[in-house]
Amino acid sequence: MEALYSYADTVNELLARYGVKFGIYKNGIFNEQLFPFDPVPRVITKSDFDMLEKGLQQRVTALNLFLKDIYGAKSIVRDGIIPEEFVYSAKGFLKQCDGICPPKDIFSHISGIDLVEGKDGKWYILEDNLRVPSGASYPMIARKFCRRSSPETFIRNSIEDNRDYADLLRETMNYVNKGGINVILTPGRYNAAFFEHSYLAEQTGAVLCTGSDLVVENDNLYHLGYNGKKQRVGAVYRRISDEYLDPMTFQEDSLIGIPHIFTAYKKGNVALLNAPGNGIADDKGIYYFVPKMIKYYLGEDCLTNNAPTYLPFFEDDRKYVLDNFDNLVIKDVAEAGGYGVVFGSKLTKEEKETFIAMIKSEPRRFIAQEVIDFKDIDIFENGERVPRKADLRAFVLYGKDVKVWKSGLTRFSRIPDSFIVNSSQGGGFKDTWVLSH
Amino acid sequence: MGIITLENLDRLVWLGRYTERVNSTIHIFFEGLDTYIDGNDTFYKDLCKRIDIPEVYNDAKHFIEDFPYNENNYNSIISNLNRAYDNAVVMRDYIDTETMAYIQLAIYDMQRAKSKDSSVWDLYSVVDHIMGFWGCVDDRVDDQIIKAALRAGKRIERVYLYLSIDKPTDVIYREITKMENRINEIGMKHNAIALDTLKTMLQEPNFDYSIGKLLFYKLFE
Repeated sequence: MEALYSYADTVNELLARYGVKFGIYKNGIFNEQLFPFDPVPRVITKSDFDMLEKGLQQRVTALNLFLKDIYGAKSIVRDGIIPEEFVYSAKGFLKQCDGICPPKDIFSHISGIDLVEGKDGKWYILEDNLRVPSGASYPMIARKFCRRSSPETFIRNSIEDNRDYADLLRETMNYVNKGGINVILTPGRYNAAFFEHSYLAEQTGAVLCTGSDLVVENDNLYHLGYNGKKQRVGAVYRRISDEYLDPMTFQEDSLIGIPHIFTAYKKGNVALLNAPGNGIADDKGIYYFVPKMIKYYLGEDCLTNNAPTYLPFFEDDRKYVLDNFDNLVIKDVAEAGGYGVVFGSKLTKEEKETFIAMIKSEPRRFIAQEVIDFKDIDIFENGERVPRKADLRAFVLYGKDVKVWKSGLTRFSRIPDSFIVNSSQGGGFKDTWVLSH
Repeated sequence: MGIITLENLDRLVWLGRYTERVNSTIHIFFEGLDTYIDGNDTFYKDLCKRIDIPEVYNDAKHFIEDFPYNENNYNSIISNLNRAYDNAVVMRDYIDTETMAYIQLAIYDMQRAKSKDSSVWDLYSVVDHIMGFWGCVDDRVDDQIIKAALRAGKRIERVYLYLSIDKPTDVIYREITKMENRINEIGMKHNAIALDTLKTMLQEPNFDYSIGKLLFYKLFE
């Protein structure tokens, strides 16, 4: 493995050569930045992966059933497993999706599940991302360059190949395709993940589109050619948020959406990956209930560990949160990307008082979690190996079967002891090796 | 690749144009630099006039520093390269990552050149990578329309530049023929009368380059 480390600069230069970047807005100005790659991989043993795989398949299956239920029979609410306050008042619940079942009953085709490995050796789920999770392209392309830079490393170690992600994604799109081509819908080049959109389009053979390239006619979706020709679209891997998807149904001033695409979807003429309305299932408040929904829908015990979580909405939990504020991490359920995350111990007295007042007045808005002291992974910093916090985003693709990609995006913090690993906040990434035996 | 949208066809044409513009203007810049070394302090005035850009430079030194590298100058080489990149980056699935990489490498060359006192080597690298880009287009892009759109852009730019710098009429005529083939291949709308007139004039003695350029502007109005 050490042989690979000496090629860190080579791999980073190759990533730069191929424009492997992410976009970031600072003070209203768009910049493209390289995503720093660190050569020390996260290594997951076969036995750990087998265990994670079962847990993630179970979790995503239950979350899909939850979405089908919430936009259908609503039995989980009726049976009192999840209070209705956590469903109908949630920002992620879209009433426009009520009663709609997507092709083959699949809501979350591509799920990004964020995990950490605790110092106790257990893996904990931090978040479920079921809307437009990004990041798979980075380890996929980095692996290619790592293999070429240090072939011996990959000959000597039994590592599952992760370069099949595009194939898995293509299969997933094909499985729900309603007749026509596959497209990847991007908001455009000034989106943070545009590299990924364009790279996945190239690798899967899907057509990269913006909203203006597509049109709905007679409740079918078409891709418009320059010479007036139209091609039917059967599946849209959309990388734009629900609210911008269709100005006729959601945010009416959206310029990046496609008028009437929701009608085409509703009539079953096109598949949208992921389905609109998934935000309700990856709401940070709903996360608390995932083990309960696994029991409810599958009759099984949850195979993955949630971080111990408290909902200030419940009186007992609220009391616990206020009594143990300094030991907890508080998350605003409406925020994402590492924003809205506050460590109780890091606040000044005044900030703490303000925050506690907010929790009391808006208890539904926050969740609190025990701080998981997750395992450090070494990174190279100025030529020296130093430990840093790192998480893992596992990708679960739901097509004919529920498949967990044998890799994942390991993101690390550059700042010592910081738990914030997001690229938008200066973090880098690593390859994730799943050992084959 | 299936059907191509109008917007993307336009981007491909402009990608072809901007890469050619960068390539040509670097060579023109070097030629101008040669005359400066030989004592022509006002070479840049003539150069601006020839390539039809505003002459906004205080002196030769200002031009040498500004024209290749000033990103705030719309007509600089770096600005044209950035616009090539803007068009390329959204075409990855059309031209592929390998081809796209050559534009990215040219950007890095230019950024490196900008940060140095002596930057000739990096400017040559820009040219090398643009040549690499075109080689990759030939080798890796299978779709004939994509290829033709890129080449149409390249030929359009070349005709424009050749008319600007008074290239021999037979050379321009040859370029126009190639351009015509490409724009017909992609069905690009153009003024056929202006094109025919231009071709006829090029075959007659005493070709008036300024009228030729006016006709060029009419081609894609």
